[in-house]
Amino acid sequence: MTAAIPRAQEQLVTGTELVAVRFATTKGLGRGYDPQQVDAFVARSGAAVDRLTDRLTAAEQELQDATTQIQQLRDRIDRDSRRDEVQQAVTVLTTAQITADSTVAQADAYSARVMAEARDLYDDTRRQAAVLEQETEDKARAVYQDALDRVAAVERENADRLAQLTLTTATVQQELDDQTAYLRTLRDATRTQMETFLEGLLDHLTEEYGRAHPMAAQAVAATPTSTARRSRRPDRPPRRPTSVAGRTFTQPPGLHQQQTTDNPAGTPPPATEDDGSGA
Amino acid sequence: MADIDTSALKENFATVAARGGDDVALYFYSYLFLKYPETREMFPPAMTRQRDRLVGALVRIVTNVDNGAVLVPYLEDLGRDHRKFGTLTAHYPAVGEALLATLRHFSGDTWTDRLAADWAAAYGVVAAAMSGAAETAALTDPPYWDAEIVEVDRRTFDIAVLTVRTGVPVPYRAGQSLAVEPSTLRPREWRWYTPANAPGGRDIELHARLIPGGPVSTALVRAAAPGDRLRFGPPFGRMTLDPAGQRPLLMVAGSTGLAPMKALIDQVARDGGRRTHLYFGARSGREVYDRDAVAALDERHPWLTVITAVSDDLRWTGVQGLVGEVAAAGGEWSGHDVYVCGSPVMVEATVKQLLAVGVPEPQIRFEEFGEA
Repeated sequence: MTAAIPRAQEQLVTGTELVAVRFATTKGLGRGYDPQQVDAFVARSGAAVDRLTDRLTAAEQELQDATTQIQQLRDRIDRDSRRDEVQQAVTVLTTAQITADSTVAQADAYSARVMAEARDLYDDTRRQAAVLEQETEDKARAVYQDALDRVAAVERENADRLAQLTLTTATVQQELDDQTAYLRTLRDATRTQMETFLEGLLDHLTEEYGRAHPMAAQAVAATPTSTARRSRRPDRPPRRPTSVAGRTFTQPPGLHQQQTTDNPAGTPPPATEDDGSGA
Repeated sequence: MADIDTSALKENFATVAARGGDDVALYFYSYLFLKYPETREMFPPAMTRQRDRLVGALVRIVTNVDNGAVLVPYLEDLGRDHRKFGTLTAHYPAVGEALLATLRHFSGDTWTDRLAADWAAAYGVVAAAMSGAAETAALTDPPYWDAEIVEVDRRTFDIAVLTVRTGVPVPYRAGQSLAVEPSTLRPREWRWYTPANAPGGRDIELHARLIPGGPVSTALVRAAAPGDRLRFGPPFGRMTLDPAGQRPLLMVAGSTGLAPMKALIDQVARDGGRRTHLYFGARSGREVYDRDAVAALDERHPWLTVITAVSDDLRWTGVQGLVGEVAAAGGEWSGHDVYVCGSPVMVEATVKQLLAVGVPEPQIRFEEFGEA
């Protein structure tokens, strides 16, 4: 057979084309195929080619679908995994931020606690100090008041004592005055007695002397008072303790300062022992 | 916000928030720092307070999402305030992305495309308001003012008066507060403090009270030294003088609440004087920490009367008692403009007592000590 099949290799032969092939008939040698058998065979082959072509097309379509599906799945996997990474990253950042916040919060809380304790301590101390100051001030005021009271008491006491002393002084003064008056009275009485006694003594002596010397007796009888007699004896020694009838007489101080003025003219009063203490 | 299903947003937010506000904020910042690591350095190492602020802001925004009159001024203040952190307009989209990712993560199955779109739109409005206000402010003001500590005067072991000098005068009104960052000692931690003098010059007087556990207050009172650097943010607060007001003034201050009062008195003196009563309260005589300066003010200004009340010191020879009670009983105040500043407990009690003696509520302005 010299039939030509002028087609490209990738192009499939269809059954129709096969059937349409025409073979040249042989020329008298009697060795050709039975045309009917050949036609039947070609027809069968054509049908088989058509079937195969259909199957191939279907398979290609399936392949196409499967490939598309695989690509979609791949894409999805790709997308999902990226979202997961994003989520992971976000979670990591969030965890890190929470950790940072917690650390700072702990530091702030510690600082707060320290400051709060310091402030409480400061407040307590301040209040205690204020209470102490107040108590101290009250005490100081009490002490001061107490001191003032004591001073006042002491002043009052002193005033009382002063009053008492004054009283005492007055009493003493009074007593002194009384004693002085008494002494004066005593002096006067003593003087009077002394004078009386001495007068008597002198009278006695005069009498005795007069008996011995009548002129003296007459002279004595001429004078009325005893002081005159006394003044006639200027050479009489200063008064000294005289012993008369066993009794000693001392001159009371200042006795003769209060001499009466009955001295006769021209005769100085006798010398006196004067210790200066006036009556 | 037109075309946005705000009720759905609120419902979704409630669902998300039910998972735990702190966890939501944790996820948000982790996502933001993961995706945009350069933003990490804008925040302090410890983020607990920052997360609380974020949750608070989100709650406030979502609650008022339909109330533009309240929401917009809040967003504009917030946007201007954010400038001090170095926030730029370019940062807002990153924040939006992190926010949406967070909401989606916690919404689980309830997340829908509609929600995503609505949230994105809502965030766009918020970001526009904030960055718009920030850009407007950038035309006239710097984002922050650098300053240096000139003097630290420790009056007690936990109260200090600092004198701080800025490069240029900071534009605030007497009685307003400034955000303060101790740049040298505690970078990126911001707290509110009130200048104790009226504006105009480069020197600012700050009264700092140490709060146990508070990083900024501890640093300012115990560790600050001349030469340390500070940063001030934009001013904030409504405890200011009414410019047209003629009423006499009553000021009630507890502890370092004295600072705004000194500033107000400084301003009143510059304006010509107005009859003013200042009641200052402390727990003990030692905590009357500014005695000399206040006595000098009392003497210099005939229109000013100062009464100091001490509540817990038996050695105090002056007025004894809680300052709020003493002030309320001290006169007829219903015709006065009243200013109260102190601890939250003190402010609440004082305002209540003043209302009880007949002071009209609109005439009372108050501020409490902020967080540590």
